Amino acid sequence: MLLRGSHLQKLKFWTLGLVACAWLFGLVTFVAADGYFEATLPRRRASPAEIHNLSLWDLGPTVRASSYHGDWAANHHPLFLVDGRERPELVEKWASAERDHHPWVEITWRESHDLERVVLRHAGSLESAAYTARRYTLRCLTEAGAGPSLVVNSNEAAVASHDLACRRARGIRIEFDRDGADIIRLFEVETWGR
Amino acid sequence: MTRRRLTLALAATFLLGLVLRLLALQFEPPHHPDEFFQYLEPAWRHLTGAGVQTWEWRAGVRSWVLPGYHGAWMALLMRLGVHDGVKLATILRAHWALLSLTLVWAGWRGGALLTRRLSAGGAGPASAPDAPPAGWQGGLVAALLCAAFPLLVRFSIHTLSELPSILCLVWAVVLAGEIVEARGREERGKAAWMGVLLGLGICLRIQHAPVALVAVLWLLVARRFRPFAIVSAAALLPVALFGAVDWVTWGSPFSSFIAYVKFNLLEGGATSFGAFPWSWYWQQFIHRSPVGLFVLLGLGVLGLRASWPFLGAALGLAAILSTQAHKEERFAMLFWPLVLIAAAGYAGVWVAAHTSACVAKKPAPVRLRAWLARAVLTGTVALVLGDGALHCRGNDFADLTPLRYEAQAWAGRQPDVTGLLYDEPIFVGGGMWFGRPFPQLWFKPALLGNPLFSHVLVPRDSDLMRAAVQAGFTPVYPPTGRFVVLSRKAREPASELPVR
Repeated sequence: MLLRGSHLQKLKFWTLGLVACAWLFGLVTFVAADGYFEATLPRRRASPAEIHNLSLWDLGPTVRASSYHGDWAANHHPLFLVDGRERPELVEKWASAERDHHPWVEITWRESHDLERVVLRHAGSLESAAYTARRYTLRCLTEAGAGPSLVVNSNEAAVASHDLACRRARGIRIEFDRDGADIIRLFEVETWGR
Repeated sequence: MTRRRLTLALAATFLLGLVLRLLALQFEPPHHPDEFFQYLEPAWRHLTGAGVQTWEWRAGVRSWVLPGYHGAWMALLMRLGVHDGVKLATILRAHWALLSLTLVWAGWRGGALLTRRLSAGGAGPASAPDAPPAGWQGGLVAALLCAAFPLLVRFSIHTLSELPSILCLVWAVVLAGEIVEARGREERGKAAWMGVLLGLGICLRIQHAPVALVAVLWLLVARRFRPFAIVSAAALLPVALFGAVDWVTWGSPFSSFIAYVKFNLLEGGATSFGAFPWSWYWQQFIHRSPVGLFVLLGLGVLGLRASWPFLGAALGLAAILSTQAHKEERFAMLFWPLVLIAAAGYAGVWVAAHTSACVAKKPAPVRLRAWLARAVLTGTVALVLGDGALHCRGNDFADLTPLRYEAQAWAGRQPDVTGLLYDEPIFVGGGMWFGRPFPQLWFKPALLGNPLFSHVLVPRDSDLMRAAVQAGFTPVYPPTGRFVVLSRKAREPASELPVR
């Protein structure tokens, strides 16, 4: 009311315009964000020469996941997939978010390895067998792109061991088929190779 | 008072408001876990994939509009290289502190409006070119109260939905009053703005609806039907925006609104978070301002002829909120600016009646009366602000101490951190405050064996601390204080820092 003046009005107009444009740019970036999870653990030891679990936490793997169930009390974080815990608490598992209809996880390593088999410790290994994932696809990730894959249609094993030979592999990707069923719960992913 | 001196006084008031808000930014503790988990964390989680997702966000009882607004700023700042969650949160808090200064301007216009309306004919357009606008006395008092009232200053930095709703609705009530006075094109423009602000205020905080109803009622009582139609139409714009955002994010229009009303109002779900007697808000108001409240209400009642929409909206809000079993102080924060403006309107007309521009040329008793009136007004404002300052400490959550937040942020900045166990999962700042994509979990002794948990945050000298020490953790930060961060002892050094 008091501070009206043509210069002030112009300044106000341009300032507001610039702020609005910057915010709109941010909004587009925000909306376009894919929102998947990714974390790389620090490497604490070198890979041994013999056959070993390539994904273990202290080898510094990178874990990606489509989502996770991140409640205050029940934070089922994707990094629990590689913590190597033999007798975990029920909370120490990865669980996908309820609204994630196509859950996946990806574990990549620091270097290429020859992968031999993949062991999945499903929820049924510690919880109800009904929580064990039945249908999923294991894909080997190589430097050249997607490597061999394995489609599992009717898994019943609480600890499922899948042979998946893959040379010069950089990691694996597991795509789950919820098929309208419950969220995915998985305690551990072990990738054995050298 | 000349126009120039008034401009300087207003500028000083804004400056005071700004300084006080900067101080609040520095010293104000967190007010409510929701300011992190409901309005910042969802945006952070959407951008980084990591963070806490509360039940409200799984059940879809929250709109994405406010987190989306914050998320847009976060995304922009991340593009500019700011990735630290604490810095992002601080910038967003500072942004709300700045925006809350618009309340000072709303106070100025609202106070001046009420003083004009109460002075009944003596407040026509100023004749002299350098004369201040009519009603300036009430405007200045209201601006000062809105700038410096301690509870409003404290609340101005919190990233809760109440603050933007308060700003929208106070402005909407002020604009309603100006529309009652205005005519023609000015009236239409103000009505459109009022409608948008009204719709936005309600959509952001449905509990504030009584204030919006009183604002609309003001137009109807004044028989301003055309502006009323414009207001109603314009209010649909934000409503449509919220509906569309829900459709895109939750799958159906107004989905979060329906779920929210169903949970809180129909199913009484909010009572699971605590129930209080109907008089709780009044006890709270009196606790916050045991003397000032009665002064404010007294002044508001004396000017009721003009201030009824402000006072009615404030009392109506308190009355409606009192019917809900679950009560929190923030729900009723809108009460304060409305009461402050209502009181300032009468204070303005009272001081105007006892002073005049040419008082220097008048006889000594008249001058004395003018000075006394100014002294009484200054004393009243000082009393209200001082009383508010003396009683503004504390909030609904006694355990919400900034020390735990500081310790959590410190742990998040450590290069060797790969996970954090804490004693309290609600009174911390979530994944954004931690700033790292590593797991954070509620402390359980069995989890100390998980190698990912490199740090533990617990009360000093507690059983939890002793359990952590026994498991091979050692205190690292801070040397003294209520909380302590412990780190896993003598681990092999990391070959490189974790990324992202």
